[in-house]
Order: sequence, then structure tokens, then C-alpha cells
Amino acid sequence: MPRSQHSEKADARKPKQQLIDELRSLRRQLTAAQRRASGAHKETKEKALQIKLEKLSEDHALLSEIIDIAADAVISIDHNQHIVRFNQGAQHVFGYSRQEIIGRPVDMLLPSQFRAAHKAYVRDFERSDSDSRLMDRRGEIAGRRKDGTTFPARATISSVTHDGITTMTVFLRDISEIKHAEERSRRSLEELSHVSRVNMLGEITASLAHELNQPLTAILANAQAMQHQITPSAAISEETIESISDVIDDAKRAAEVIRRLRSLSERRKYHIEFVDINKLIVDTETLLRSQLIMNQLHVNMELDPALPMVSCDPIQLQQVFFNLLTNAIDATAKRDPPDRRVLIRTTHLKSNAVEISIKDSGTGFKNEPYRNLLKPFFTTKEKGMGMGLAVSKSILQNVGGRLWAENNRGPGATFYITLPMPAKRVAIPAARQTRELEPDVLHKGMVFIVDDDVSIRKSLGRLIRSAGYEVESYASAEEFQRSEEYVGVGCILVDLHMPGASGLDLQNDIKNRRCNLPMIFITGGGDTASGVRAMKEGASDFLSKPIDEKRLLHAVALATKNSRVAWEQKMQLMVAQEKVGKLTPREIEIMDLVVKGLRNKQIAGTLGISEKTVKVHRGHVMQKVGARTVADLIHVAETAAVNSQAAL
Amino acid sequence: MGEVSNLICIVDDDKSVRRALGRMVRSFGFDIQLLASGRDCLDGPYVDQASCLIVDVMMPDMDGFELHALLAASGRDIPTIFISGQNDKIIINRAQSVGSVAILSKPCDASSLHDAILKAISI
Repeated sequence: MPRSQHSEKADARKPKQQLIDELRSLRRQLTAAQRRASGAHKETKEKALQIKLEKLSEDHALLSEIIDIAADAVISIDHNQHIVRFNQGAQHVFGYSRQEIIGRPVDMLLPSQFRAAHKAYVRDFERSDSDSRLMDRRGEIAGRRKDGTTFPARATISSVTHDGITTMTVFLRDISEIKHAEERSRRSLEELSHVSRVNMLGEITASLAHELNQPLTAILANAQAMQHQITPSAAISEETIESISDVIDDAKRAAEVIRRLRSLSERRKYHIEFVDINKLIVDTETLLRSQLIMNQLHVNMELDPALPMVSCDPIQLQQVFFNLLTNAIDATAKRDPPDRRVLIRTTHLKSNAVEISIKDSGTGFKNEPYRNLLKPFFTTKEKGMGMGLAVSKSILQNVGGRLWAENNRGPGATFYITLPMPAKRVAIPAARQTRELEPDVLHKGMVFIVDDDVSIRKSLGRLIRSAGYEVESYASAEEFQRSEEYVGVGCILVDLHMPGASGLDLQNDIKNRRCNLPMIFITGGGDTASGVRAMKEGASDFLSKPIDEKRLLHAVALATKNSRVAWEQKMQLMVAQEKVGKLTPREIEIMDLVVKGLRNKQIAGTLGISEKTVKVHRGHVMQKVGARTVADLIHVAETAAVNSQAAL
Repeated sequence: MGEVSNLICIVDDDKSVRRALGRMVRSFGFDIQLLASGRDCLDGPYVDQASCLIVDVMMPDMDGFELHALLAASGRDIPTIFISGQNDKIIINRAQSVGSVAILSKPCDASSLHDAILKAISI
């Protein structure tokens, strides 16, 4: 705010000088009056002057105090550039006390490389006609604190000449916090646009691969059909046959390139964590604020304060919000500025998903089926590439979410996102919290019943539900496999023999997918052999029909208990790995040595660095990992390492 | 296997892929019937005469697995070869778990397709 500072300072200066002038002239009048003093008339006049003088002294004192307590640094220097005034703000900003600095050269407050230039600048200013000006055309200079550190600052300088003596005063504000904030926001934008480019590239690769693969399939099949149909004869030369064979070879070669491209683009890394969607939306809006203001788009938010956390990659998800908000800017651009509005709303749906809607007052879709909108390379914008929504859709699909759009009843359109909860009806954000919860309060777990017999599904469902579990039933293994992926505590109760995929097939599939839900098998009487086979493959238990209720509930209790242990381990692992993931390689080395019980001195010796450096690193490790004691650190290090080995 | 019919149904929504696969299969010496969607396959008369189905996994409206499940639900157990452009683990696992003869990646090589058909009709 250089401009307002500037005028404030000018305002402050002028009354002050007026006051001083007035004060002096009053003093002169007073003494003159006193000298000429005679009679009652003179006395009243003297008294009036006295009151006026006191009032002025008070004003003067007040002004001095205001200057002194101002948060900005106010520094006055004399013609030798020695400091004569140094307010509290200056003491705070520079770290010098008044006693240390009064009478010393102002150079002390500047980084050495700027001193000469500064001196010349002040001389130049002194000679100029102006009363005050910004100290740098860009409005930014550097200051040097007592501890030698430098900081960016904005400053104005002004001069007051009084009785032939010129005093220059600098008003200075430390802007390092503002600079940091700017830097942080620039970096997040850069990160986001990088992710955006990577995603877009991945999506382009995937769609290209698909689009090219189809014709390639046809080319190869046609060529191979030809190869089978023809034999060398008078009409068909050897060369024709060679050509066909070359077409086949090249089609295979191209297919191999596509296959490799595809496997490359599939191997995208996601950093999944529990994310506060509301915060992410607010952050995204902040990142885009300057663009929103520039385009005069008014954003309103109705964020559900009770919104549960969602597990996803925050940067990827932020990119989705970013894309949708950017779309809203484009969609509303043709409307009059007061009509450019966006409403972002978050809701916790009854189906236990989180819904985010972004409603704009733009032009809406003209007869475009929304399916087209989500296709790669489809765009309604003049300069659009047609990738934003396709990328957003694939990001959401990767975490089991959905994206769709509708025209509003009024102007504009609304985009909807739904994100599934990490575990249905299970509130377990972190392992530590579960243990503190009352066991009765905590939902016991989810039991999936997969059986083709509807009456068994119903009766088992009722029984298990009555014991306090959540139940979901499926009529076939295929139906279960098509259902939304479940991440949480629970078990699967599955009939061994079903039409279509059997219980064992399901077991195989689940093992391949690394889903850690324990399985309990139900077999018809007499088929123990299959049951044994299932047990060998890692089934939790197997029950023969007719099913004994007690035995069933016991099996379910045991299976869910194991599932809970596995879940908690997974959560602990996630938390620990995330903590350790923040460490630099050097910090990991240090952590390993600390965990091994080495002292700082020994660690310094081992790594060939100074003990002081070890201490600094060690401090960073403890801080990043959130450990207060070495025991805490050992716990985190072991959880991360042990479990990651187990997970391999 | 004298009773086994010689008809193979090919279900793929991409016209040129469908036709080319048809030519390839015919070049092996089989009769073919081309179908553009799972719906066409279910509603038409050919599926009951087929000794083997070649089904694209990724189709709009009804995907290959859905077609397979509906055929099974209607009591038809026809050996099926799935073909898919995107053969990730999930698709392979699913194709195996629903009991298909084979799952082949697109583009499919003549000899692997031929092998899969021979395996299918010998079941």
C-alpha cells in the first residue's frame, strides 16, 4: 500500500510542522505579552495564550506518541545520515534498541551492497524539490536486521527543513510475510499446472492409444485373413504375399508401441490421503482469486460444516475444482458482469458420499449431450483443447467418484461431483482415534453376503444385522464384483457353489485385487473338500449347511476382528509412511541412526558431518515426524518400515 | 465332434474391427455372424446356433461381461473368447472369473485367436 502510506505520511507531516510553527509563534507572542504586561486586560490575554499553549503541547505529545507506536518503522536522519529518531516499530522490525542506534549511521540498517547507492539516493533526494517520494521505483528495498538477516521492505522518504536544518524521515514496512505468501501461492499454482500438464498428457496418450488401436486391430486382422486366403499363383506374385507379411509385421510393431505407451500412462502415481474437501475448495478459490476478480465472477459458497473427510489425492482433486472453476469463468464471460455468478455447494449425501456442485450463471450447454462434454478433444470453447473435463473425469474415476453436468432451469449449468467415503459408515480417520472410541459406539463392520439363494440371503442378513453389523447382499459373485469397491472393516460371507463364478473364483479375484476382507465360505453338506481348499487359500472359516447361528456369528466376529486389525495396521502404515515420506534422504539416514540408539556425536562421526548439523537435521526429523521423544520416533520408523515390508 | 456347429458370432461395436475379425475367422474355415452390440446378440437367432462367441469387452450400453452374464442367466453356456483393447489386471481377472475361454488383447494375432477358437469348440 505505498500510495496510502505516502499520503498518510504527508498528512502527518504537515499538521506537525504547522503545529511546531504555530507553537513557536505563540511562544513569541507570549513572551512579548509578558514583557508588555500591565493591568487586568493584559492578564486575561495572557491566560488565554497560556491555555492555547498547553493545548498545543498536548497535541504535540500525542503526535509523537502516535509516531512512536506505529507498527511501521519511522526513522529520521540528520544531514549526516545519522539516526535521530527510531520509533518502536523500527525497533521491532530491525531488532535494534533505541539506545543502540540513535546517533549511528543509517547504513547499519542496509545490506552492505546497497549502502553506497542509498547514500547517493538520499543526497539526491535532499537536493531535489520534492517533499517525499517512494524509495524505489518498484517500491521495494532491502533492509538489514541486527542479526544480519535481510528482508524486503517498502519505504517512502520525506524531508522537513526547519530553522535551516533538514531532517529526513523514512517510513518503512517489512513486507517479507506478504512476499512469502505470494511465493507460496505462485508455487501451488505452478505445481497445479504441472500436474495438469502431466494429467493431460496421460489422458491424451490413453485416448490416442485407444483410437489408434482400433484401426490397427482391423488392419492386422484383414492382413492376416488375406494371408490365409491366398496362395502364390499366376495372379498373385511372391511380392504381393511379401507385402502382406510386411503389413502384418508393422501392424504388430505399432501395436507393441501402443501397448508400451499405454502401460507408461497407466503408471501414474497418486498420493492418497484424507482430505477436507471444504478446505480444498476454499484454497482453490484463493488460488484463482485474481482471475476471478479480473473476470468479475462472483463466487458464493455453501459448504456443509459437517462434511466428512474423503480419501483422495488432494492435488489431483484440486485440479478438478480448478478445471471446473476455470470453465465457469469462460462460461459466464458473455454475460454482464453483475450476472456472472458461481455457487459452490458441498453436501453429505445419505448414500454416504460427498457431493460437490458448481453452479454457474453462464450460457449453459446448447443441445450438447453431457456425455460428449466429458470426451477427450471435445470442446465448445474457441481456444479449448477439450481435455479439462476428460482429465477431471478420469481423476474422479480413479478414486471411485463421478462427474456429470446438467443445464439449470434458469441460465447456466451445474457440474456435480460425487466422491465415495473411504469406509461406509465407519468413522476411522486415523488408527489412533479408533482405539479411543467406545467399542459399542463404533459400527461393528460390514458383512457382504454373496449367495444365489434369496431366502438364505434374507435369513442370514437378518441374523447378522441383529448382531449389530451392516449387511449388503448380492445374488452372484459377478454382481458383488461390480459393486462399488469397499475399503473398511468387514468380511464376506459367500456360497461356495453358485451359477456363474463360484465362491472360489471370487476368492481368487479378491486376492488378486489385494482386498483384505476375510472370507467365510458356506458349503452344502458333505463338500468338505472344497471347504478345505478354500481354507488353504486363506479363507477365514467355512460353514456347512444347515448353518448353526452361534457358529456363524462367532465366525463373523472373528473375521471382522481380523479385518479391523488389518485396517488399523493399514491406517497406521499410511500415517507413518506419510510422515517418513516428508523426510529428505539425509534425514532418513539420521533417523535410522537415532533409532539404532546412536548419540549425536556418533552419528556425526558415522556420516562425517558436524555434530551441530546432526542436531539441526535431528530437529527437522522430530518436527516433520511429529515426534516429541525418541520413543515416538522409533514407533513411527518401525511402523513405516515393518509394515511396508509386510505390504510387499 | 461331428455335431458341433461351425458358426462363430463376433460381437464388436466397431464396424471395421468386426468385419476384419470376421474375415480372419472365416479364413480359418469357420462360418461367421457379425453383431454390432450385446443387444443384437441377445435378441437375434444366431447366438443359439453358435459354437463360440468372440466378444469385445469395451462396448457402449452393454459391455462384454454384461452380455456374458445375461447369456448365462438365460441358461446359455456358450464358450466365449473376450477381446479387449485395454487389458489391465482387473479385466483379465474378471474375464477369468466369469469362466471365459480366453481373453485376448487387441490387436489380436491370428494364431492366438485360432488357438482360442479351437480350445473353445473342443469344450
